Amino acid sequence: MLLPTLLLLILPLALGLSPPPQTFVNTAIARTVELGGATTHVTTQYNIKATADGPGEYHLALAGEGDEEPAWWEVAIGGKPVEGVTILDDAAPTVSVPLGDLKRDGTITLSLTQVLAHKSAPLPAEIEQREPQFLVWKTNSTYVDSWYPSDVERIKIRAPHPPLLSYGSVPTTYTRDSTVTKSGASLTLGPFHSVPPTLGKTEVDQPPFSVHYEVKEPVIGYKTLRRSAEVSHWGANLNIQDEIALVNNGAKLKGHFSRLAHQQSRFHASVPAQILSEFTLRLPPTAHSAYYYDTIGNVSTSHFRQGTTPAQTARSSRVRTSPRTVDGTLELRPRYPLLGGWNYTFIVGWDMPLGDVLKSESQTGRKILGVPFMTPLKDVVVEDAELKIILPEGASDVQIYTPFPVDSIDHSTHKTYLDTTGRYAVTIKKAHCTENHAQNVYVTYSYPLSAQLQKPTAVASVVGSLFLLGMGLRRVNYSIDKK
Amino acid sequence: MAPKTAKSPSKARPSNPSQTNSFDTRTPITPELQTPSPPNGPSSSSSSAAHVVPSPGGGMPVFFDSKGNKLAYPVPNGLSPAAINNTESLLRFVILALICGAAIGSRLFAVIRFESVIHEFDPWFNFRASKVLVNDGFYEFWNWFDPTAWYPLGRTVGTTLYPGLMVTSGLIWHALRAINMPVDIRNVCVMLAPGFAGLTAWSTYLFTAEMSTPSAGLLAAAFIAIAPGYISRSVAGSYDNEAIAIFILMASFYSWIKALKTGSSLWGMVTALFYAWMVAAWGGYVFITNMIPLHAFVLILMGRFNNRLYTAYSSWYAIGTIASMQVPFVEFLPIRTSEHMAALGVFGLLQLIAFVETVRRLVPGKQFQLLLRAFVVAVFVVSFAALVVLTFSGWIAPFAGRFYSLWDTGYAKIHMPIIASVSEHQPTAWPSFYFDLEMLIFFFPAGVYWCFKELRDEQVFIIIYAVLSAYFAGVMVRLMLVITPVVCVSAAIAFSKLLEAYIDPAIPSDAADESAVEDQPVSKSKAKKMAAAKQSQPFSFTGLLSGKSSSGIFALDTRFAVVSTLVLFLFVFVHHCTWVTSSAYSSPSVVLASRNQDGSQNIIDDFREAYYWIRQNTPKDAVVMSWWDYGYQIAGMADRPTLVDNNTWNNTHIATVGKAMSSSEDVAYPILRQHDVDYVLVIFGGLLGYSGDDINKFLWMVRIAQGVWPDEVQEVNYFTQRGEYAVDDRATPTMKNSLMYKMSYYRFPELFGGHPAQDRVRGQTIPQQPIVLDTLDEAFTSENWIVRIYKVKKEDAIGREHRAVTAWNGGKKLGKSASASASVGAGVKRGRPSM
Repeated sequence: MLLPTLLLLILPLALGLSPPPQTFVNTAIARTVELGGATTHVTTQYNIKATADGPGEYHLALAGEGDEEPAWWEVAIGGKPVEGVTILDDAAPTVSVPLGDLKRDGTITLSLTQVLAHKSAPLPAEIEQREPQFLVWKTNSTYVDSWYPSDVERIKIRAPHPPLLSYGSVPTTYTRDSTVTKSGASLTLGPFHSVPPTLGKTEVDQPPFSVHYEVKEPVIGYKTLRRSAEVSHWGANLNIQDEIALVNNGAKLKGHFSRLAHQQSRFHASVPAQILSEFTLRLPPTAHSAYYYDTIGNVSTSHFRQGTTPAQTARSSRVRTSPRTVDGTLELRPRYPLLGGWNYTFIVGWDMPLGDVLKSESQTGRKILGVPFMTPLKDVVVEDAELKIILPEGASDVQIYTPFPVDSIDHSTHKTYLDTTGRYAVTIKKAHCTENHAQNVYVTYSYPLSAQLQKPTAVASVVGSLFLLGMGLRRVNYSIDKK
Repeated sequence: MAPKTAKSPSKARPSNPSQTNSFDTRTPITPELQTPSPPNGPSSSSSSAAHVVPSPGGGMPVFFDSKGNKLAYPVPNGLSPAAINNTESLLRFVILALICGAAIGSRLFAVIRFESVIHEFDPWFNFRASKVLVNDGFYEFWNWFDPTAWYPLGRTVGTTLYPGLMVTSGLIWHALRAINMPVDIRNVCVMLAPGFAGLTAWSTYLFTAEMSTPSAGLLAAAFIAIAPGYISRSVAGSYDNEAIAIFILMASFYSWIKALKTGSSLWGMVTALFYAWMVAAWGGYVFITNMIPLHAFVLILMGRFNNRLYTAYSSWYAIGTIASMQVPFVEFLPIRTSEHMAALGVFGLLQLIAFVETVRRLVPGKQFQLLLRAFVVAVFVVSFAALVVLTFSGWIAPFAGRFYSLWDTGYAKIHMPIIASVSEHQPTAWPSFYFDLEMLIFFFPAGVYWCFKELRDEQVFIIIYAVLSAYFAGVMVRLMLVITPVVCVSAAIAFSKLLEAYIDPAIPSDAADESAVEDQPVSKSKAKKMAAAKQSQPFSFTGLLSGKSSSGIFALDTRFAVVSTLVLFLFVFVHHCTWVTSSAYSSPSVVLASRNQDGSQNIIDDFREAYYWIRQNTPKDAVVMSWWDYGYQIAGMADRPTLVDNNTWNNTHIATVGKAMSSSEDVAYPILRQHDVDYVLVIFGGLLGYSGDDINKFLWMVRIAQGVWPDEVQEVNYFTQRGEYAVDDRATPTMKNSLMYKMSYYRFPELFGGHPAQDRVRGQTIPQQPIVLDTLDEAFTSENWIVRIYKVKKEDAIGREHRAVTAWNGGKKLGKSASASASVGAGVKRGRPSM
């Protein structure tokens, strides 16, 4: 215990980093941790008081020392995301948040929303087909990580279902009475009083904490998600196709799959927690012509319900339906039920009208295209996501705007149906995505009329020259014997 | 053409220059053939102008053309021959295009009903090979050694297949990519057969137009486009050699006829190229190899040897044989096997005859000719004797077993159970002729009769083709495919002769003319027609049916009756073809469909469910054992090594699998372990009533195993005392202990929750007593239990027998909880010595 602590103490020094000036105090921190399958949602409220005039920027720790940056995070003040948040190169993932001009003793409330990936692991790691599934959630920092001292801290941990098998304990250093309170599926840690900064040169001993809980939903993840979005101006169509490698990340199946037991459990209306037999994707309301297939052909076990928009409802139906936007739903059933550790790779795709996602700038005529980076699916982590936007042939002057930092953006040329010069393609890659990353990526490009006419001209000229060639050839006499 | 027509003036068409058939310009009518007799041949007088003369009696109007010939109905006048010619060729083009469209369209039932998927068994291998070709390139494909097939032997695929099909689709794929049309190779493979069916219709049109008239050609194209006998092997997704072979067959026959007619070595070379393509594509190329020499030989015997025949045959044989030897699977077969000797013999014979003819032309002198003839006969006899000697000395291989089974239908059953076990190798049942060809089978002899009547060189070809293929089609169901084109062609000839005779508007002038005609020597058929016309006179119809204004058989009513009957035939034919295609030949057999109670379609996708599970959730090198039927599908869809597959080249290996399936676990387990088998896959239809399952094929496994191990596996042991094949209580102990029985019915009765477990295929009740598997674990069962996969256990870690392990585990559980399952209890009863 001593050695790692020492190391932790030495590490920032070794990296040549120093804690920020102690110009802030957290008067109260309230953190809520929602446990799930693959992801953990953490919401933290910081009540901050400045201890000096013009305290500078607030250093907000996203995780403890040596931890990974959360898969997704957002800093907000009064419900609005803060602009100008910069990531600092630090041992603990830290961002600096501009809080504006604060006088001494001025207060402000900051809220941090985080989604953590893969914090829970199945325990036991292997279960039989009909056994319940348990996960254990572990964290290295019981107290909220902060560069500043905190007056009061309260942490609430919520599991999805009431029975909690076990949970860790918390040292009584900063508490007066009970440290962990359990009520139903929730645990309350603290309140902790007068906690010194847990980061930087600190004497605080961050104890780990764990919760062992049950999940009744299968824990699924995407190993890879390859989305391609192809824009067609002639067809006024945006085609989106996802190639998904799905894996059941829950407890692995012990022994073998018994169809008999599976059918019996369905008969008793109690599908075991680890089995994924169906899931639903929510598509844009105007999505149509959905398809679902895999390496060996179409998967017939799926249902697609097209969504509606208010305009559509008003136009089409005599029956009075609620004039609101209803998402399309694509209910997918894999070919076989997915038990723990099983894989399933498949492809889904759909079309949608281009008018819904493409706007034209009135002065310059530049096109602005919004393509969703991924389709949100609750409690799923995408290990590797890739979005390839294929612009129409002849699009030029392309600029990309991503709503969040991504790992890489590549530009390439993509050749497909009857192309002559090829299409402009942009490939965006990012690891560790969650449902919060399902936001639009914006692309602007210019697309003149000449580019639009490029393909018809090319095809027409080829066909025309073939005809001319045929005419010419028919008029030549090949016979050796000229008469 | 012209000399031929001159040879047989009796059957030449009597026609006036004014009525020269505008599209029949190929057959110039020589002036000496003109007769004043009225036209009753197939020529139409559409080019002649017509005008109406109301009959004085006020009855039916009578029409005349510009030459004053009587017509049965008015035809437009004042059209220039060029206009008619152009219209006809446009019409022909449009009709042919529509026929091609119909040929493609009627093969798409499976795609529309199910999806664009590869069908059945062999196509899956072809598809896999095509993927290798397009992904890894041509040389990789040529040298492809597949270690995953016939594990652990492997298969040198490149030299044991006909690459024509894969190369064809590979070329199409590359051509489409070259113009930036990226199409999935699967779609190319699925649509290849319908596409080539369209081309077949076109080549059949050309072929028939050479035999008869272009209108007969159009009919033949329409027939072959929708004839079920051909559709059965060429629906979308049926990606097999036959898919392109029929097109190549018809194209090479067409170019052969063309070469023979023109005497051009260019056409001979075209024939050779098509022949080479055929050799690369289908084992049935031997049919062409023997058809063309036979045709040439018959022509020689008929005394019709000429330089055109010599040029056509020699250029075909020389180029074709060399080209065919480039295919690795064929190599030196054309000079070393008996099947190819006829072609070589006729080639030699032609050289001799040509030599003799040349000498005869130069050297007059009867004795010399006699000598030469003797020389020809002697050389023929000597070379034949040499052939026999070479055959018996083993230098030339005798006919292969598969060919013997064509002569003796019982041969395969005795000597080659694997070949006999395939349903498409059975002799054809009579109804299937009608099922596959409908009315064509009745018109077929009539067409052959017409060919006999004219007996031009090319029509001899039809006759030979008809006789040969009729025999082959009777021997093997699969060869119905070969007879279908000739049936379509000759039925179309007969049909168009009939239609032409009854649609031709020309009427012989008068009774006076009739008598004049009678004085002339007329052919038999014409005399018959006259007789019929005369006989019809005593019947005097009244009103619309009265034939007074025109004479008898030439009246509109008779025409209408015959033509409408024929049209009715055509409609029924189309209906029948569509129905047969839709109901019998459009099932992918990979995907099954059933109807729900409300009439909606229910897709049963168990095969792909299980194969995809294997593909995604087992190690890449896991060896899967199954009966050979599913070998190609497992390799294609599950992408795993298999022990045996549909390329049934190693009988012993298949028998090993058969032995493992039909023996008890104690015998089977060492076999499984020796072959590194990880998973065993069985097809079980008992729950759903899917009759093509492994229990129904089981007897063939037993028979094939018995062929190799007669002491260890005996068919009788699988029958009850009364000789029944039973799976219920009456089943013999051998049956019940066999691996196949155990794997099929493992835990099956539990599904019925105490009720009698009904096997819906065999209609028998499976005994409730639980089945215990000691050496296998159930790994996966598909939704409807059609595919069941078992994992082979490894040897026990502490060296116990598997049976002892099962007993031990069972006993332990029994001790722990009283409510142990029944299967556990059985394990205890069997293995645990004391308790």
